[in-house]
Parts: sequence; structure tokens; C-alpha cells
Amino acid sequence: MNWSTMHPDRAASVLCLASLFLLNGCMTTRVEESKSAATGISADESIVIIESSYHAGNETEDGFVDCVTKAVQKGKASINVYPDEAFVDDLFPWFEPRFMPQGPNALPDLMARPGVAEKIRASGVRYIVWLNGDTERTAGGGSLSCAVGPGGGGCFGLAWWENDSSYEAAIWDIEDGKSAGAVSAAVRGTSMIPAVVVPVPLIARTQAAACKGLARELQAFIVNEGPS
Amino acid sequence: MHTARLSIRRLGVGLAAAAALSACSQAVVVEPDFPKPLVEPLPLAVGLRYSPEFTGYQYAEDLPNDVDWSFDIGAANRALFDKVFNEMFDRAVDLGEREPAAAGVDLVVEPRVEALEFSLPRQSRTDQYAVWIKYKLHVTRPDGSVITDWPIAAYGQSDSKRFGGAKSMAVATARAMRDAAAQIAAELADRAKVEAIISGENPDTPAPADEVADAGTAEANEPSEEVALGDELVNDAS
Repeated sequence: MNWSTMHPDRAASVLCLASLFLLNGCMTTRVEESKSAATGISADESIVIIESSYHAGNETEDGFVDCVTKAVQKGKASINVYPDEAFVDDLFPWFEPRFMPQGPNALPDLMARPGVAEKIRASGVRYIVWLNGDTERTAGGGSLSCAVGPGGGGCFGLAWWENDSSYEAAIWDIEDGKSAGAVSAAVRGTSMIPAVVVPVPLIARTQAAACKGLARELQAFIVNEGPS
Repeated sequence: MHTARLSIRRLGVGLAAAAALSACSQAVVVEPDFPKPLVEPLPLAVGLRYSPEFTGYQYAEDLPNDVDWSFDIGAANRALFDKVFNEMFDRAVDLGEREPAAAGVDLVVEPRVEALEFSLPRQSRTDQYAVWIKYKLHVTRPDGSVITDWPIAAYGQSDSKRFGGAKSMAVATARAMRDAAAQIAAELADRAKVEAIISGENPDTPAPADEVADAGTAEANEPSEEVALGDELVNDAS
């Protein structure tokens, strides 16, 4: 790359991207899927993405659900997503954490309840995507100390921590009344803040990476009729 | 002039104190906005008896080494029970001071908040604000005889990362209230059971405790309706 001939704006962009790359911690990502039935979705159909019940011990963050919901609506394989809060409100109380169906076997009974099948049909929702999992800090260490004096201030040391983001999306086909399969994303990353006078945070955004990976795989899973 | 200067100083001290106090307390107010239950209404008229304690329910707790928390769920309580019972029954009437017989209702429900508890993320060592509310529904016939005292243990939680502070706690509280409404709606959706219990026609359904006491020892071994329904609901909640 010839820096001397590069336009200053472009050089600034490259430097900016490079610094962003450097400021990320290191991560390993694993995305998997298991498909048990043919899928596919038409333009007038949609999916709804709901976090599994906290009564069953699930701790999926609200922000992660929002992130996946936004991500699957982007790109070439974008999918219509019905707002989860509206879906749960429309079908109150059958999708409340205490009463939500715990497996696809519960779908026939649920659909037989007065008004439920009609509401779901009216919403255009073809698949229910159940999100499970969370992000946990699995390790950490080091020390970082900062001080301020009359002549100025600064920090010295190294702090690090490891995050593990592990999520699974189970996909139920409402039309067929059974499970279509599941996709999962597991991202492990180490973040650190080395400091010699000025601290330089190198953050591994594991949850954002898991969101991106899971959403991409979910799009492929649903849009491609055969194995994706 | 001296007086004016003193007043301004007092005002300044007052404002500073108010600012300090507001910084050390978190007020949780739940919006009275709940969904309609998707269930077939029961062909009955229900009278609702709201006590001032219920519609003005407030709870405050001073945590050591932390901010003080106060909860105001009175308006939301009323909105929640109005919504649920208006949708669950053919007719729901706010009795106020009226006698149930004059209002032409089949049963009377008087809800109470028995307890409210909460936990902070630092206490539970999770990312969740959590709220527990224990309601009790005192259900009677128009003549005042007790059908049941129905305990409802409701729970809600909210991710601290999404909003934080009082907003997350308000979401957790609203979810606990929705949980209570969900339990009521799901239980009342079993139409046959509810109608049998209210009418007393189900041979498997024992009579209320006061009637059993009046009837003598022959029926005294049977458990009361109150115990039977209450136990079942408690088991469902757990």
C-alpha cells in the first residue's frame, strides 16, 4: 500500500479501521445447526423471537433478543419479524413465562385454546424462535492502578477477563406443529486493558459476535428449504 | 434585607437537601397498562370490592448502605384487576360501598396485597432485578359465605443492563403483576371447574368451611372448598 499516494480521507479511514481491529480482544466463534424438517418462508409470513422462560432458569438478556431481532431483518436473506411484545400481549396469558409452551408437543393443546389459532394466523407468524442462553464472565485477573498528582496522572498495569456467550435458538414450525431444528452460537473471548500511563482497552465483544453469528445462521436455516 | 438573605439561604439548603434525598432514593411506579386475556368469559357477573389499601398500595424499604426504594402500585393494581375480571366474566361491577345483592352479581372478589419483596442484582449476584408479590383474593357469594381465599404468588424479573435502576425494577414489578393476572386468567379458563365450585354442584367439591361446621360431624371429615382450591392453586404456582 502506497501511503504517500493515498487520499488523506481514505488513509484516515484505513487507520480508523485498523485501530478498531486492534482495539478488539481475541475471540473464537462456533456456530452450529441441526435441522429436522424442511423450512422456507414466504414474503407474507414472519417469525417471532421470544426468550425462553426465566421460570425454567433461562437468563437470556433482553438486549440480546433485540439484537437478534434487528439482525435477522437485515441483509439479502432478511426475514420479517413480528414484534415479540405484541405477540405475547395478543396471546396473554399463554406466552407468559409461567405458562409458555415448554416443547413443540404442547403446540396442539395451545392451538386448541379459544382464539389462539386465529390470533396466530392473523399475525402471520409461521415460526416461533425460542432463545436460550446468556453471556457469563468465566475468568479474570491482573491489576490496574491509576493515580493523579499535581504534575498529572496515569495508569499502570494489566487487567483481563474472559467472557463466554453461548446461545441457542430453537425453531418451531407452527404450520406443521413441530420442531424444525435449532441453531446455536458460542463465542469465547478475552478482553484486556494494558496501561502504561494511558490505558488501552482491548474489548472482546462476545455477545455482539454471538448475535451476529446466530442471526446469520437463523436466516439461512429458515430461508433455505433444505439443509442450510 | 437580612431576612431575605436568610430565606434565600434556607431555600438553598432545602433545595440541596431535596436533591441529596432524591439522589438517595428510587421510586418505582408501574404504568397501569396490561393486556386483555385471550379466554372465553364465564357467564357470570362478578362484583369487585377494592379497599383503599389495595388501590393505594405503597411499599418502601430502606436498605442499609444503599438507596431507599419505594413502590407505588395502587393504580396499576386496580387497572390489572379491572382488566382481568372485565374480560374473564360476562359482567364485572365495581361494588364500591354497594351490597352485592343489590348489584345483581353471582360472586364477590376482594383482592389484597399480602406482601411485596424485591432483590437487587448485587444481592442476588445476577444481572436481574426481581420482584415477588403475594396477592390474596377473598372470594365470597353475595350472601357473604366464603368460596375461597385464593393465594397468588407472583414473580417478575428484569435485566439490569437494559434500563437499570428504578426503570428495571418497574419492569420487574409489572412482570410480577402480569404473572398474577396470568395465573388468575389461566385458572379461570377452566370453566367447568370454576362453575362447579361456585355453584357447589360438583359432588367432588367439598362445602365451605363455615357450612361444614354447621352441618355437623358427618361431613366434617371432608376438606373445605377453600382448602381444596387454595391448595391446588398454591401447587400450580410452585
